[in-house]
Amino acid sequence: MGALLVSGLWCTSTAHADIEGLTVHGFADVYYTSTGEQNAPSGNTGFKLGNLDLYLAPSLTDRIRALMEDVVEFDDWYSPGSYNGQPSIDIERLQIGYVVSNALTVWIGRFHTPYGYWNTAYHHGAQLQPTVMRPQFVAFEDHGGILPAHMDGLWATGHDNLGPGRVTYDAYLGNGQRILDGALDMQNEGNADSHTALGTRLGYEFRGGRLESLWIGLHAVEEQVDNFVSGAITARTDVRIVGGFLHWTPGDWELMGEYYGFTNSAHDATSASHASNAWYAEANYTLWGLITPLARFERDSLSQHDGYFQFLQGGKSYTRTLLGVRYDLTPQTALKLDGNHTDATRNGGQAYNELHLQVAVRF
Amino acid sequence: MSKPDRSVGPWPMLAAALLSALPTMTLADVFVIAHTGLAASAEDIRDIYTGEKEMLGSVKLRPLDNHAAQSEFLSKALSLNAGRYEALWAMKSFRDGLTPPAAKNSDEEVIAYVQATPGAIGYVTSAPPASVTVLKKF
Repeated sequence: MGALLVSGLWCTSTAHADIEGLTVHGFADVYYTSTGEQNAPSGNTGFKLGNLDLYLAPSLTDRIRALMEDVVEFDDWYSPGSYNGQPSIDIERLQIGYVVSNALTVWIGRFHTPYGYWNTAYHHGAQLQPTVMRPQFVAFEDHGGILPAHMDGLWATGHDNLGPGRVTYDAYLGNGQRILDGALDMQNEGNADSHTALGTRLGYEFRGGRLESLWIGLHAVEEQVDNFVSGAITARTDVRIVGGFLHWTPGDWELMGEYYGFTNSAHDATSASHASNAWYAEANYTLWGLITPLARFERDSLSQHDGYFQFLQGGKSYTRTLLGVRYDLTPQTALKLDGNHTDATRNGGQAYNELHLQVAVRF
Repeated sequence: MSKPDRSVGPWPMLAAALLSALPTMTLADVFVIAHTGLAASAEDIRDIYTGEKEMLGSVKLRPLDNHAAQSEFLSKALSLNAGRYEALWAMKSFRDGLTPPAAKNSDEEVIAYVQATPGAIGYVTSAPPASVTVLKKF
């Protein structure tokens, strides 16, 4: 992190002589949470530090570019017993790309897994996302997420004009995930179990006309995920995810939604597969370019007979209704207030209310 | 305490002042220029300045902003204001690792860069010299 900071500042200071100078960008957020959830894995009521996210995006040559992103955060979600009050540093992205054409860029490294809309559009950019919190099931792997938010591997992406809009596509393969201590691990240091994850996202974005900016698409991920307890595998699950998404900004509205259907089965058995699903829908409307009231509904129904959800600590069914408002103090500073009611009683969890107040900046 | 008289306020005088100032508020023409030999449509220009197009054929594009003419260019060519343009590039940089267009402070600096740099595209409000290609006049 220190090296990244120093190199970034150095590049900034020397940028005057070169119009392609490099600048450190990033996001930071702090917030206040009040939760009615007992023994909440995400912590208790009070003021909290969110993320300090720093990234560099140098163009190394005309065709080679890199994206490096580090995040300083408190990883207390699933290890409250071992929480020591110290922040940790995550290499969020470390990817190097080759631009073949406007229609194809190939990346290698660790990247944000391209599914749905939220994961690649906002990710750790708290100031960018309309609400304080991500939809719970789209959360990061170490914050209760049930999707592989990061991938170590190869990623081909691009777009090309077709009809009144353009086709967008992503295709990737990488180290398969595994479950360690109840959380998905993307195996940054090598594919220990030799399982490969494959995925794709195919979309169409309308340009012009009444459907201007509407982006709709399908996504799919397939991989084998093993659950590890004390170094031993206790379950092997073939995970298959197929779903769709949309994002649309007609006028001052922003509409978005994502759906994920799971058909998971035990890898070593001939037993029937288990169907699960997760989805959210969100709408917001910006008044005077400053104030954005919003509403979101989230629901997942996750089979507890499934070796994937059974061992993921975030793999419990819930519904959440969220209302909030965002106020853009400046183009770089957002003040956000969310309140939600969450019902996780279908799998023996709790029903509770939460309130989040956040100040998020980008720089 | 009497209510203030709202029947005649400062508005007629203010309106007259604004109307008289109109001729001097006319927006200047914006010329989008490119290095010699480069051809791009209005749609290409929009895509280039919003990070959707990095190459034209095999040529790496090098778009350039011009602080002296930016607001007029954004308004006429992209239908954006400076705030939304900056936000757009913040998202493009974060999501796709793209570098926003570099910026110069005057027409002269833009013209000099475009003349000297293959793939360069810029915009100016003064009539451009024959040594650059005029792609579009907004």
